[in-house]
Amino acid sequence: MNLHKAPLYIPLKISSLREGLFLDRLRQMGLTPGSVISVVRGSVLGGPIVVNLGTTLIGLRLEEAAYIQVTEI
Amino acid sequence: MATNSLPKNILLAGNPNCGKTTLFNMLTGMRHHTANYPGVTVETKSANIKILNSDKQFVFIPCTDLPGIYSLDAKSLDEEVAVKTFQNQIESKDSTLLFYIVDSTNFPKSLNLFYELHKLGFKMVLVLNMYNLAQNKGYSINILKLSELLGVPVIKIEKRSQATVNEFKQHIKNFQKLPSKSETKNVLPPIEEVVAKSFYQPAINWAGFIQKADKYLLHPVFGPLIFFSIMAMVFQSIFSWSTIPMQAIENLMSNVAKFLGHTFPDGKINDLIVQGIMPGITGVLVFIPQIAFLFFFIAIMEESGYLARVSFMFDRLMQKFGLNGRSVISLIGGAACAVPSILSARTISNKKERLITIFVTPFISCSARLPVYAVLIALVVPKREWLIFNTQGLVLLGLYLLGIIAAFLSAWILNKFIKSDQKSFLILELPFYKRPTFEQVARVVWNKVQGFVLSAGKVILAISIVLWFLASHGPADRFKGIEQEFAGVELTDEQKSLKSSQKLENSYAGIVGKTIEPLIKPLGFDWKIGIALFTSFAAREVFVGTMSTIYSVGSENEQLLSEKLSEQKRPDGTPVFTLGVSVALMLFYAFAMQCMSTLAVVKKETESWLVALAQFAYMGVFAWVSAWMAYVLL
Repeated sequence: MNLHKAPLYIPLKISSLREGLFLDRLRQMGLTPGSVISVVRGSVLGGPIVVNLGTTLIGLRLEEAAYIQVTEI
Repeated sequence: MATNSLPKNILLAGNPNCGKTTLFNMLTGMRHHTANYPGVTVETKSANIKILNSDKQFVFIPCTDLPGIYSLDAKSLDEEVAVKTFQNQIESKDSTLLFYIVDSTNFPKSLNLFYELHKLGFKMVLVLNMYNLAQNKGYSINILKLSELLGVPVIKIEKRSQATVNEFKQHIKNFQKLPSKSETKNVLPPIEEVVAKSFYQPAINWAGFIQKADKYLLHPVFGPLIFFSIMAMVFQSIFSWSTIPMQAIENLMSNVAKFLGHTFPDGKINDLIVQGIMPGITGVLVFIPQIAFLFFFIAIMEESGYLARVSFMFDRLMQKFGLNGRSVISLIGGAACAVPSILSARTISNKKERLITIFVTPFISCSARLPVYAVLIALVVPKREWLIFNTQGLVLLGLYLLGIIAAFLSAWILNKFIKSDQKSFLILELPFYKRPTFEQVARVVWNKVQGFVLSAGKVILAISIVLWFLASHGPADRFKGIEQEFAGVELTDEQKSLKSSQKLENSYAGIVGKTIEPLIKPLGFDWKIGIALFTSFAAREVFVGTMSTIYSVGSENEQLLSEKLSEQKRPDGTPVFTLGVSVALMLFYAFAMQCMSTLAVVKKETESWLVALAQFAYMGVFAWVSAWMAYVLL
């Protein structure tokens, strides 16, 4: 499933990143295939979501989250 | 240890918000601005580190603090600055020492950039910053193992102390012993392996407090409500809490002026001090409490990590106006000063969003407008308490809101006209909440107050003196005529006042004011206000000093400026500062771009005089039309 549709607080593994403009920045922030993340704040009124990656909290828009394919662990 | 065994350059690099500038300040003794959100440093900063060499002589080594980056693949202007510095230093990499700063609470993510820099071949020392914070959260980093795996020395920073500075200096002195590119591992183990072997993260819900706090602070309803409540409290406190210290400064300066007036013999020098210099100095010093309170609250928001969350919270709204969530940091920073706020827009990677942010940020009321507002509000708004609010604080909040509305309206218009195919994104790291320390907040407040007094103060003082000269001197024939008119009789108070008024009108300052009067007459402004508008085109805060000087010339009265202004009459006997004129003046100052520094920084950041001049003209017309409407309607 795409990250923007993922449920809250469930551990997720990044399975792949779709090619696109944000790919480099997502990788630089540590959002790489194999990383374990969880959504800790969902989108409200189409606003950005917050993802917990290890010790980091990353805010990203739904458009960017849609580039990240995840699977539930 | 000879001097040539020391590095010729020192670089401080790392991810955004890892504490580079704090370390830079500690090592160099500088006082550059730090805060708890990514993107505070947007340009390189350099200063020397003093090292005692083996010959017992001090040598100075240039140290450069770079903007934080996640990768050498730059996405925004601030990142380009850092990457270009690395490219420029490649030639001299053998004489360059790179301190790679890592936020220990965010250790695994920091390794990506370390690996990229390792490939460039710099001699590196890895610095684990905020180590005690990581320990408190239950993280553990095996320093020896980490050093062995990466092949570089690793140092930890638990607290800012002289011992920490000495440890840094020891590594600088040991520069030649550091492994060079040929001596280090060409291929580092995979990041996952380094993390697994050297880093322990407890299986606890570390983000528990953050989640609880964010639940309310980022809530779609409570979040904005909390934000606007905080801002309302800030503006209330600026007016209510600063009253006592402002009054104390005024009394002190009034006594100093009286003392100097009695000390110096009557004549030009006495006039210059009492009517020129003292009103100018008082005009600067009296606003210190308000400036200090404004920066006190801004520093708390920055240091706590709240500001980054405000960017996040308003991103969706910002997009509708062609802006970015990161624009919020520029806009809120604009309440302090537009110049660094425009520089901070470098973190916005989308060119259109960055241009719109630069264009609209000066609409946000900066601290330089505060003295102008304070005088004019005190002039027309009676001070009344209503529940926890006071009326003057509410009007001040209203003026700030007007600036915000003007900024968003302008952004909306620009968004319609500027076309761009470049895709916008917001991938933003949210920092940990931190309890702001007294030391950090006090340093910010001190630096800003010092900056205001020294930089703005110098201009205000200089203009006050020039203005005193221009207001008390004029063409000889005109002044001679006035002297002859009032000669030979003992003047009554009324005649003295009339003589002073005629001299001011015929002075050089009066001639300047009269020249621009036709342009400002539709706004209800007379030639005296014209002089203040003219002088404050360099910097807004000059307004108060100018008005103080103009209304002190020929006056022996020790009243507050707002009281003096309220007594000013037109030739027909009607008051000059009616509600319409005062509101028009407030709106003019709220919207006009009266700041040379802002104009210069816009030119620098956009590399276009056209943009800077278009902004100047746009804001000028906006201000004139708003002021005219207020005057006509009120």
